[in-house]
Amino acid sequence: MLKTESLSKRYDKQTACKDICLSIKEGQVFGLLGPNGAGKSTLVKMLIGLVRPSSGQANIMGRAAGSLEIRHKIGYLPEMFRFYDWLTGGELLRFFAQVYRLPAHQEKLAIQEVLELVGLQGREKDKIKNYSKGMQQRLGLARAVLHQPALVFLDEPTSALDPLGRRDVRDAIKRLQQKGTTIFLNSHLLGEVEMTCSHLGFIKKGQLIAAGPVEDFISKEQDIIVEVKNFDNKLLIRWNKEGRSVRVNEHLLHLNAVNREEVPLIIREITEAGGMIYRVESRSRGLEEVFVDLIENDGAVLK
Amino acid sequence: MRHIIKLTLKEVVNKRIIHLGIILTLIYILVYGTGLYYTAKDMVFEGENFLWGQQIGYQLLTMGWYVSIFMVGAIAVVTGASSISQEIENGTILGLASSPIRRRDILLGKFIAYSMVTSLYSIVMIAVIISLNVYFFHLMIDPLDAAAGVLIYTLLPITILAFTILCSAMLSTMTAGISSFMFFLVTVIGGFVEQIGALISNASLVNIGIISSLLMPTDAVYRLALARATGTMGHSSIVNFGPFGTASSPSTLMFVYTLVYIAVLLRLAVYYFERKDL
Ligand SMILES: Nc1ncnc2c1ncn2[C@@H]1O[C@H](COP(=O)(O)OP(=O)(O)O)[C@@H](O)[C@H]1O
Ligand SMILES: [Mg+2]
Repeated sequence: MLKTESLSKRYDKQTACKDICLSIKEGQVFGLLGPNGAGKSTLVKMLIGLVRPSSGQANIMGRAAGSLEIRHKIGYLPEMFRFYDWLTGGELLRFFAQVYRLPAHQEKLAIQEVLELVGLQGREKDKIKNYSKGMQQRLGLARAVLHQPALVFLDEPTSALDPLGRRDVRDAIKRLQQKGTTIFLNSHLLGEVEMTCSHLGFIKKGQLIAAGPVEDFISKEQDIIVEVKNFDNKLLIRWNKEGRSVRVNEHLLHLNAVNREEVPLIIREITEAGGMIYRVESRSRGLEEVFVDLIENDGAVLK
Repeated sequence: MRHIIKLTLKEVVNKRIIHLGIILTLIYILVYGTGLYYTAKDMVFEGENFLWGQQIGYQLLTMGWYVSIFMVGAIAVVTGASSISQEIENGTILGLASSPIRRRDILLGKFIAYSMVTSLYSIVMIAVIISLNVYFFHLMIDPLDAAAGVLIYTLLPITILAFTILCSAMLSTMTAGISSFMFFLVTVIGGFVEQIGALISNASLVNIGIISSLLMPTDAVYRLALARATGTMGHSSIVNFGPFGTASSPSTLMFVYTLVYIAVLLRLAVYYFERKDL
């Protein structure tokens, strides 16, 4: 669906993106995470043809990214969606319906559909200047998916929204995903991508430092709590020797940073040593920790 | 491109500064017309006074027309200067340029729409100015000549627009607007200097005018249009006089040069805009 090779963008003074090699398959919801100024917007703009890469290549659906025919098949929501504010929301959508050459008989239906998707139905006759920032952003989302693109780029779609608006946008993304739309989502908000994405990438100072399925980041390490009776303390001593982070609190055994694959082994060891397990609770190591780790230590722990 | 032209026309109708321009123009026409009325009031245009009336009418026509250059220039600069740069500054360009509209079509679509509006503005304004003079001074102007002149005159806003849109593709709105207007004024003054030079037969003054006409052929377009509109009349030595007239008459070569000038500037503007990071 999308593939980049050593995609780079240098501005006069700084490098916004450096040697980005990325591949996104059909149907994925790819979340690109990174602090402000990391180069997320620049990367997306290169993929759409708004910014000329300094070097490298980008292909979408087998064609050069940014070409006219690819622009027909993709949607884009800028970080701050602005359009002529003397238009009404409906006029804006009609304008783009024509630009994307939607057949006249489909136009009305398509517009109703996207208005409903973003929760703006009934407001299409209002001038955009009377929209709140959040409404403008949602109108931008409606515009981005109006022509049912196979691939949608959303640059920080929720940063201008209040919590309710955020939920609406998350729901909209879910619905798009169910329809099979591939989504490229930029965000600096972890919770955001954790809830919506199937794949993640981390970008820092213009470099893509890690990318892969969400599970790779979330469940590689988790904290588990085991409610156990007759726990054999010899195990505790051995685990401590092995360098495992573990402590016992009455009947509760806390093990930190356990690899997912190790969980069944640990449980077997406890039972084989005579322990009786009543409950095992596992807490995914939050993306937040992974994020901080990636950004501060270049992902030393993950590697 | 069709979509952009339609959208831009709609935009112009919604622009407050355009409304202001139209109101100022109406005031100007009103003042000008009143002036003509009081000048003509006690004059007799028959018999031996006929030529006298023609001459006064011609002078007032050229004066009124000359002033319109500045208004047309201001309108063209105001619309053109924001065309590209303001869209970039506001971020509205992201919506357009990410859609399947070529950047070339965005720029040319805007150029065409603005050209239509400013041309219409010039046509109406000059038609009114000519009609007022014909009415008050029984000015003998062939309607076909007048129409041809007025049409040629639309090259003035179009030329200024091409220049300003190029600036807008390269600079910020503020810088584009100010530099285009300054440049425009300089070339108009250059043309004025050229006429003085022709009157007193000073070659250096004429050369200054020619150079400034090459930089932006605003003055040449005006003289060309005026000479065409007043037809045979403009060439007769009786009325052809004064710094607003056509003592130094522009050639058809200048007309061709103007067309080439517009094409080259637009090509450059498209070149810059297509390479711009948005
Ligand atoms: N047009 C530009 N000219 C110069 N530097 C730019 C430009 N656009 C972005 N940058 C720089 O490139 C870096 C990445 O910016 P951006 O892609 O907007 O980051 P993000 O979207 O992750 O916040 C920043 O340091 C920014 O200052
Ligand atoms: Mg950004």
